[in-house]
Amino acid sequence: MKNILLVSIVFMSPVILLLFLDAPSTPPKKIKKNQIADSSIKFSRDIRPILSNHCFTCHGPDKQKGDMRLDTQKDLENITKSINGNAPLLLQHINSTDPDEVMPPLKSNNPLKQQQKDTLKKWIEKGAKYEQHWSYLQPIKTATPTLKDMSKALNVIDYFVQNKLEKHSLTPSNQADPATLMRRLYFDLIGLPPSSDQIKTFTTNFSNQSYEQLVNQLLSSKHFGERLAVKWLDLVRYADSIGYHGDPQISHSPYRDYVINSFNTNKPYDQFTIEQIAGDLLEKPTEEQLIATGYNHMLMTSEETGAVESQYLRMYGNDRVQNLGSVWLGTTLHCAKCHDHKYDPFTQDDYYSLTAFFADIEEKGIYDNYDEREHLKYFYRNIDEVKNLKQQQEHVAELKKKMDSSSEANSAEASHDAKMHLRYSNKLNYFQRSLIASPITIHTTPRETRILRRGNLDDTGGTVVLPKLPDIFAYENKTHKKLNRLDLATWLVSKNNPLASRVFVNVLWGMYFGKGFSETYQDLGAIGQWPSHPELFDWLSADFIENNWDIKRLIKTIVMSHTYKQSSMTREDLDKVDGLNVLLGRQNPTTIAAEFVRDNALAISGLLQLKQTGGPSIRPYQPEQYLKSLIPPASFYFVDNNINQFKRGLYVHRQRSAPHPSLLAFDAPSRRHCVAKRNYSNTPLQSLALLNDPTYVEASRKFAERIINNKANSIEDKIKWAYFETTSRVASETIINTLKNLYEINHLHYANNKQDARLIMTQGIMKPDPKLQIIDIATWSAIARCLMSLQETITRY
Amino acid sequence: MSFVSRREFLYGSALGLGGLALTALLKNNFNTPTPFNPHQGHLTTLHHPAKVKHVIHLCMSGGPSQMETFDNKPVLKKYHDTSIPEDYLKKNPLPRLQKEAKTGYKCMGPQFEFKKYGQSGIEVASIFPHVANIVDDLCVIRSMQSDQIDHGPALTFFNTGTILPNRPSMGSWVNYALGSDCDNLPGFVVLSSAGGGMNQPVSSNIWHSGFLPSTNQGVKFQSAASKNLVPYIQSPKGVTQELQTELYKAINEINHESYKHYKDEEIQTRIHQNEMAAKMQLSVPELSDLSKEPDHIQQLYGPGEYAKNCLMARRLVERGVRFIQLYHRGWDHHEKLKLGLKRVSHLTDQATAALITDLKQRGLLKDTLVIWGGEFGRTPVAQNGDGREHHIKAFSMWLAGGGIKPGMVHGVTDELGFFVKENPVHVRDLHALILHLLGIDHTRLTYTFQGVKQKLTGFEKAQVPKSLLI
Repeated sequence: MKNILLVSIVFMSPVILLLFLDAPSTPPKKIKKNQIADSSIKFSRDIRPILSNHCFTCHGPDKQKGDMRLDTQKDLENITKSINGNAPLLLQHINSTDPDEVMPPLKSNNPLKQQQKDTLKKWIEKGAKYEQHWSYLQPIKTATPTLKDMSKALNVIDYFVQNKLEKHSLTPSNQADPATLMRRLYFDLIGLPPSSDQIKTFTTNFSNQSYEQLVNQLLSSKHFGERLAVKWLDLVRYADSIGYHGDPQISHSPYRDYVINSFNTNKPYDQFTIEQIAGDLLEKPTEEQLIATGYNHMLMTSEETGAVESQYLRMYGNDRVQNLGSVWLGTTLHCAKCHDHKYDPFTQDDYYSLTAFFADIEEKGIYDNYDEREHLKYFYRNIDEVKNLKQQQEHVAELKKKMDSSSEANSAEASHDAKMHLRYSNKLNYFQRSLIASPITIHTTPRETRILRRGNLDDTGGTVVLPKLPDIFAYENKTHKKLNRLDLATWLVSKNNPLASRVFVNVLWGMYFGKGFSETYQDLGAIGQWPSHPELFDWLSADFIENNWDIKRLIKTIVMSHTYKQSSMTREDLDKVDGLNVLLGRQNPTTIAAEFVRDNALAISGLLQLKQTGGPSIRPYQPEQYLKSLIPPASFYFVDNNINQFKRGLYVHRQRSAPHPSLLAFDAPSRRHCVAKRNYSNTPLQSLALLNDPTYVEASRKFAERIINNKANSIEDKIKWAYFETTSRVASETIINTLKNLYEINHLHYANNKQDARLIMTQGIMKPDPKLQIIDIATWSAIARCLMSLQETITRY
Repeated sequence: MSFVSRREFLYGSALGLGGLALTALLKNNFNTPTPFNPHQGHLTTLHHPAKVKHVIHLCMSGGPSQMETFDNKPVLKKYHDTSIPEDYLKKNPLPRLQKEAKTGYKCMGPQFEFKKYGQSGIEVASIFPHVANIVDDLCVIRSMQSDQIDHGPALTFFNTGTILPNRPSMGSWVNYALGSDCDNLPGFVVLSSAGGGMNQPVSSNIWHSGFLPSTNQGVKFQSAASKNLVPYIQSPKGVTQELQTELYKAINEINHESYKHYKDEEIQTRIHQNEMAAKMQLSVPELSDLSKEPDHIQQLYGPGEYAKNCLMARRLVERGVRFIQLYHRGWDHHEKLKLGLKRVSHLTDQATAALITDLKQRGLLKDTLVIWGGEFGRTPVAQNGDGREHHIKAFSMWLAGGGIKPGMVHGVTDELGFFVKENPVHVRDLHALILHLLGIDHTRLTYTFQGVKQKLTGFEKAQVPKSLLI
């Protein structure tokens, strides 16, 4: 029976993997891999997902075919009651063999599995208890559970996690070794690797105190904000191009730097939220608060000639609400764009009332060009850039003059001049667009917002709506004034919104454990995934609010737990019961994100430029013609031929329609829409990038110089040092032999083919160290390329 | 579908590269689990027998005019330069024609002569002399319809069946379902060329894998004319092929050591992917070397970037690549339509016909579906005097290849070419058809995302236009 139930949960959908609440206290009998559950039935966890996946489409918040709905308590009571000794209506229909009566209907091609029918039956037998969906209830702190064995419990997280493990007769894993811990903290908190010297010092004097010191040190590092910003910029879809159609550049970098600084100064999350959505409506907003409102312009916009203005304005409204739904409400609000939400309590009226909050933002549906983006306000300009721009402008004016005067005299010359003029004015446009600027939100008279029937962007006959919060939240407007963005933002981070804290806590948890409490980060609604540790999730979400949305405090709580510090090694006993590691009996290894793959290689090479935080986006080497299928100025790309190009990955120019190929290979999102969790693929394009992208080739050549200059004398010692520097691990005999062999082969080649060694030196802008032999540099750069391409080099264990 | 051959590849055939027998090495020394194979399809069996294995989509980006290509409108010619009857505009206002809204909408007759060709007698405009010669191999659809009128959204819609973000393109769906039959090239390849009209951009979101695993994403080849088809496919200067091979070998030997320590399955996958990368480094330059093609083949396709891409498409099909998209950006003619079409047809006509001829003579056409057309068509009324606006109520495309009736015309438009009169084929019907020919029932190829069983054909009804099938 138990297994049947388990299967029923697992099969609900491939996305909704199983999860569970009160585990049985007896050891589970041969539970199949990945299938863990308990025998009790919970409406939220076990029943609602079946109903929402199979019934709500026709009998839910949106449609009620045959006047029947299965999403409210009252209606459910009626169909789960046995009347006159007959089976309850629900069971009659799902078990019917009559093709006209069976539910879901055959033509829906969405039948219930036997296990699901059994689950529904059992639920009805046990009294058909109904519950409000968990995420719409206030998060509360339940009592910390007790443990039989407290030896590995360091803080509240461990009590919740280990309690669940104990119920499955499992034990937590041991703490990872100090080197792994240091490496993990470095990647997780600042996105950079520790050097071998740092590892050595840390491991020699390792203690709980030194661990905490390291945590404090990294949390106060200026790189902390850079690390966390990558996550936030994914959520708010930050990019350096407008997105639609021609996708020309646009500078948003001051907004990006605002995010970094906010994390570094530990700005409370509520303030951070309010500034971004409604900083302009605060009393006497500071420049920083105005830059923050760039958030409202992070969406994709268009400059397509002839496109229909009103459609795009409406698309922008939709885009903003979708982002709001993902980031602060964990709700797929956009489902309510065309009809009332199929699963969650949001109506189409709610949806458009939310878009109305943003109707006061001054903007255009279609911008003619850059100059016309009137809401753009330049905060500061780099003087050199302005000078450069002026020169270019003069050049274009000159060409134009020449073209005008020659146009009648000689048509061939005129056509040549026209081409030059076009090219230069495109280039000028490129420069102008790359100047540091940040769009800010300017409040204006709100446009009228109407419900777009069936989501039709051309519809003009829908009901007019005013800014309003969704009815489910029962917001009381005490002032009776029309609500505005500030009211919205303030409410989002008030105690009355049960979702904002949960979404953010879940996202952070996902960062530090490789998976969130719920893996459907942007959907904590009825068909989102049931959380792995609901009470702990609630506890942390409540705690976050109680402590004034203190982000660093929350992160410190997480990384100080034993649960975080566990080894990530697989264990047979865990695997048998919990192959997906839902219970967190160990840490999860994770591939580091695209930006940090780059940072890591540059850091190892010594090229990484860490001095300046923020600034304009940078342009590293990129294959020529990579942007060819775009149109000017987006198709232009001027490589930064200076050390700026070695700044961190998060500063790399983000062209929405064609992100840098190496970042793209490592799954950096396009930033067209909100991404709460990146996809982590493992593809040959990644291998090619690590080996052949000039950035990595140049890094390998500089790492080679570090290896040669290292005080280790013999080739073997140098290999040992280089391997340790890259992976924080001691090289095994096999590894040393492999690398020695590689050394011999390369050395032989480059000694006999010095021209090849010279060619290696030509890659990238950095000159080789003149004190060194280029044959040696070329040889060691092969070792460096090998080390930088290892899977363990780009994995945080 | 040859899953068996792929598995064989996994277990033993990583030997293709000199000295790189790593899979074998692993197998001998350790009791390793089957490495994850990112190239395996997710359908274990086809829904019905497939007619084709490959798809080549010749996407004429910008929106070719149907009145100047495959849909002759003599009546429209008669009304040339006169106002279009009011009721057409009532049924379908033209919001993009703002200038004409003030000055009046004028009919514009076909700008080129049409003639009947082949045994089928299908009418083709005079700008396509080469395609006219192969018209008996084509199935012309004159009744296409789309939902989206701007380039970006329309291309997105044409590729993904929706304009919602983060949705997979058809090539990704197909690769997700069927996997790749090719162990050294991506299963979904995109090529692009331009010229002949306003070059509308194309970007990665239209060949993106959306919520499907990213291994199904289209890989954009740079240019068939260049050696660097794939970013970073060439070893760095100063690194010989032998040295690079040794490097791959060393990396995987150490990866293998790491695996002994970490027991992390991702390391196994990386070993496999390094092998694939190594093979790609050898196969892609060979693929891109078009000079090996004999003269008569080069002459058949003719000069230019589009022609090279067409030839490349054939070579990709030969090598087992599942889905190939070839964009030619140059069909957007808001003004000087006649001149623009002359230019763009000159750049593409010969190679398009050559591709069909070449596939046919090699016996590949019967396994391949070739699709020609744009994201929408153009208005029967003039824009800027001598151009045409975007139009989504009726436009023309053609199909050729396995399972498709050759030498037929499907669908009829009204006498002005404004609306479809008979047998409309919506973009989502075309999606259903593509999947059908590949052996997939479009209602059954689903992926649960955001709690909903997502399909390429979306939630509205899609129908396979059965009368096109043999």
